[in-house]
Amino acid sequence: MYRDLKSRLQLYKMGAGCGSQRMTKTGSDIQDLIEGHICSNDNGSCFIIENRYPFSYLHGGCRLGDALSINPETLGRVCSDFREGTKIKDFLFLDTETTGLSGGTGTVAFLVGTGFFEDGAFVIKQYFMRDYDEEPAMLTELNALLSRYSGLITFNGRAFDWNLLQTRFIFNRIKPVLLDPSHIDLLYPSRRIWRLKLESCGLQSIEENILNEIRIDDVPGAEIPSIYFKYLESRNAGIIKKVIRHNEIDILSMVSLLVRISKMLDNPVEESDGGQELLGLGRIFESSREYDVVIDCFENCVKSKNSIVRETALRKLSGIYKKNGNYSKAVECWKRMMTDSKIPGLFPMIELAKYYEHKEKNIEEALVIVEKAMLVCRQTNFINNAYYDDLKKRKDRLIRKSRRG
Amino acid sequence: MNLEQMLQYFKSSERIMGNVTKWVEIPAREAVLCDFPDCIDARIVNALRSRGIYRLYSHQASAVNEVEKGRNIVVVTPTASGKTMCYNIPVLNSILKNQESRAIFLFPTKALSQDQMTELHELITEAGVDVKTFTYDGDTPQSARKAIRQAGHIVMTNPDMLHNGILPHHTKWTKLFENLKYVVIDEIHHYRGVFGSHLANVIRRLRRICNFYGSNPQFICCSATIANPVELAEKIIGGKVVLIDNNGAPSGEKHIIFYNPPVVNKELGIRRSSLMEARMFAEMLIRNGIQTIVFTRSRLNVEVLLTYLKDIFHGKMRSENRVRGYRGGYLPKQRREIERGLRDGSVTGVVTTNALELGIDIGNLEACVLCGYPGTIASTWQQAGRAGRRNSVSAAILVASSSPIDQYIVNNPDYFFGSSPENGLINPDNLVILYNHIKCACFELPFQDDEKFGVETTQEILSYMEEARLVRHVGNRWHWMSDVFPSDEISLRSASNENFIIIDITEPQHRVIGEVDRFAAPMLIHEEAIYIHEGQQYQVEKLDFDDKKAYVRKVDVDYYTDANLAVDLKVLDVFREDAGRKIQKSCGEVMVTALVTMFKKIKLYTHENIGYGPVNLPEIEMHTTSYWVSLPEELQRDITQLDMQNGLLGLSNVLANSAPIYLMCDPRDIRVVHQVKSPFTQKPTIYIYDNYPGGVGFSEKLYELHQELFVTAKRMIEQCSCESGCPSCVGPLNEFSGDGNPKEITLKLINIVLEDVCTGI
Repeated sequence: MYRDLKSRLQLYKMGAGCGSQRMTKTGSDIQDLIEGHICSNDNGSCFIIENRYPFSYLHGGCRLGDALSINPETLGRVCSDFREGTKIKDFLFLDTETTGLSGGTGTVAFLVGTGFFEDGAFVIKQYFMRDYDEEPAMLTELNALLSRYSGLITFNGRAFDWNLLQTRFIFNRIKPVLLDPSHIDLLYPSRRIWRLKLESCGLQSIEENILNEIRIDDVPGAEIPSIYFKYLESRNAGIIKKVIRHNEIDILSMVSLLVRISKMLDNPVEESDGGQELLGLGRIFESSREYDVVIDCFENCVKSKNSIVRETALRKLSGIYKKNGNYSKAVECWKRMMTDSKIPGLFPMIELAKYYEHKEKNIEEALVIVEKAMLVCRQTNFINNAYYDDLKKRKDRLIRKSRRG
Repeated sequence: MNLEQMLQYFKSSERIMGNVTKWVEIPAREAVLCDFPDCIDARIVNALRSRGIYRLYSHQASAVNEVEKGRNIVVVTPTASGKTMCYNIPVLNSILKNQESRAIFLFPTKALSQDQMTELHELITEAGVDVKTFTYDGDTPQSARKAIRQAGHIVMTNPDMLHNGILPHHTKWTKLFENLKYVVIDEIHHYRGVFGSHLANVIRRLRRICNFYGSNPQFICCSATIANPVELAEKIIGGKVVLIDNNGAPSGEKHIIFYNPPVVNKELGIRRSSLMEARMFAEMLIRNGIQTIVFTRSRLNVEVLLTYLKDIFHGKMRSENRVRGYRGGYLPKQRREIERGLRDGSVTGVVTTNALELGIDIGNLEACVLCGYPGTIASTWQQAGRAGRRNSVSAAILVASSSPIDQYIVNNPDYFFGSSPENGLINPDNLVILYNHIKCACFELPFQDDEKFGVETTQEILSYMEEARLVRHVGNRWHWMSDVFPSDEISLRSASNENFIIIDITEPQHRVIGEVDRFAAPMLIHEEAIYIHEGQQYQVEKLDFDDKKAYVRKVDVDYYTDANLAVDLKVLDVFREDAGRKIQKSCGEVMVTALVTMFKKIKLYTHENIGYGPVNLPEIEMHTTSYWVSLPEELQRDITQLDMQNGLLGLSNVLANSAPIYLMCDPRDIRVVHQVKSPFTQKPTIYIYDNYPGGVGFSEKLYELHQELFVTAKRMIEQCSCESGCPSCVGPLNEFSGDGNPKEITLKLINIVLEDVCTGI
């Protein structure tokens, strides 16, 4: 009398779209379609694809070999945990393709792409699991490669790829050999440099707009999980080929991007657009506390046609000058900020008022500025702002001082 | 007057005593103490001593000993008996013995975990030991999470966070899962029905993950007094538990007073408003400086009562802040201030909803007024427990409303004071809920070919999922094959994942305030329905059925709405049945087809019908479990068709009110349907079904409780003061046709059921 489980599950309308025909094998096996080899170890087997590129290979406006001449100091600027004495050859480029984007233990990296310099070539080695049961073997192979490196270069790998791989190692009870790598995550410097310039700071957007590299017949990242699932069912390697190519280009682009960023860091004024990019570069040098370069960057930004760039640079500069006691330079910046736009911001006026009151002890000049600032507040309906109250207090104090004086 | 004088005054007042249906004086109780068990670390003992604790209460000592023996336990003792010590001591002790030990504490609400954390922290500080405790919930800042995952010895969280924030990311919690020694589940009686059925599955998932990391935690559960704490705890944790109920905590003398407001309209059975009567008590108590807590059943009533009391005491009390309101929706800062005021005595009276029922520390007050029965005996004792001091008298006054359950309780005090009849029921194998958690479990760890998840049919369910392309079977394992994060789509508070969301559009900033199951949507959120959320009334302005969204706006009206449901019910499968000489009881799976055609507006308190409107929504199908009773076919010869109809209607109404008493459920969690001639049984039949797809265990229990259920229904009718029927018993008279007496005919049917005996279970 008790109906079978399957029909009960269907009654509850669970698993929409089920019951459709199983996909039958329609295409070729991966080993017939893609040059690579099946690799076996104690944990099983997986598929490995290896491609060698000469140093002269041009991608994204640079030769891959250019990466070898990046000096370690430059790397240190974009890597918070950089270790002295490491070179670009100690770093492994890494990018994964996964079964989902939300993370968690049910998300698997089915393709791990790596890139490294070896014997006069740039090698891209991709580890692919032809099914779920190949994961332990794949990770074992990857682990062997990782043991040769002390650092990683990724794009968003800190939050995603490396994070996910660590989960996979734990999950498969494989002890990862690379425990605490120094990690150059290109997403962070990219965001600083191109945040103002680009709508998106994703790798593909940078590739298109900065490296001028156009992908032909690419697969959109969001579709990759379902393509893999289709491959698993149909075993048709034709569809997965595009994903493997996609991953390969990602790694090539990371090399170009690293070269591009290094060049910009080595010669910020010459290699950048002198505006939005330069401002971002200045900020990178600010974090590495190289104030001479910072000043050079920002002083050049002041010449920019973009008013946001100019204002930000002046504000930053004035702060640095003030901190170093170089008041004449700081005052110059504030005055420049005031004349730069029709409605001057409160920041330079408050700073100037402080300067006149406390440093130059020119009470009258301070009063003029404070009154001007209060006027701006009233004009821009800022009178409920805390700044306005501060200004009022400052004004009262200045008046008292002027009476005494 | 102090409280003792006040109670004397009540006893001498005819006006009051005339309406008191029961006055129980619970004598003071001496503490039953035991020495600290030897296994407790000296640092903990010293910390307790410096707090003035030289010995443990008997139940605390038993808990420590049983846990030491490696058993799972469920502690069932009254409010304020020092239950938290039953888990704090063993857990701390184990961490002191082995620094690597870890524990998870589960609380039903965030506020509670904050409070418990403060208490535990004090003990740790006193002991001078390095034990790190953290709360981990939706409010935990991202930056702090990493440290908690690595270093936290004790993680305090809630089931929802465990389900969606911890288990799916278990590789980030390796330290915790490798060393998990204890899982504490406090207030376990809260996890019943849908919520409890989900929790049992979350625990199944937790056990799988522990097994993966090589740990096997012990469970320490605490519960309020219910009929089946062991059964509930065992179902939730999926293992045996030892019951600890040898309460050794002392208590002062306590008076429990049942008060039924006087009848003002005998014909309609209308009584004086419970709110007015509660106000009278609160006023007398507060005026005399007796610290009093008043519980009402809605936010609205909090405000109404508060306004009355503030008016009364305006200018008369030293400060206006002596009477305060407290409910969900108040700002945390405001709440803390009121809690402090209650502890230090600067607040004399507080009017609240059940927000203050759970363990928030407000000290112990002297008197408690319950405006309306809180719905379950367990809740009533918890609320009444808010008044109670070890060395002096306390009192709790229950003022009944005119609702059928309230009336039953005040008229049948034995039911309340005897051993608890309330069952915490769950159904962890509810197919819809189980299926969803197998998805989550598979995401967390692939299933092995021989693995079982609660049920024997696990592998069958997995192959069904494979057909649905959610999992992939390869190399003796089932792998999750979807880019969906399954726990994101599953709420522990509802049975199906096809929920309607309810959006409040009162403010320009719209916000989601709740969810309703697809099956309940036509009944609860049709256009013009009054939807009540945390005591606030909202009216549904628009229901977008296709997009599953209801737009509501705050209102303040004196009625509620009740949808008229045309239900067709088909029996699909019989699980159990038992026939007496004349009648037959059964339980099984049914398909319910429900169509809402109209709704009624019903006045609060008096339950008068004050209007109606049409509803145009599609028919909804639901598969669930049901219990049914069929009456003898020959009965049709003895009574007229009309009487039969009226009798079955009266019986439906009274059963709808008597069943929740045993099930600890909301009246809306079950539905009653009758058929004069059932197509399945060919007899007059009355069905009670679980109002959730798949069922959550109510029907099976009702099948077992058959006899008690009808006895209660009979008493409800007999004890009602109305003449021939009212909303408190068989339902409002205008629902019946003809000129028979609905009470009499309903009783006749009940007697037929009770004369027969269905013994087999």
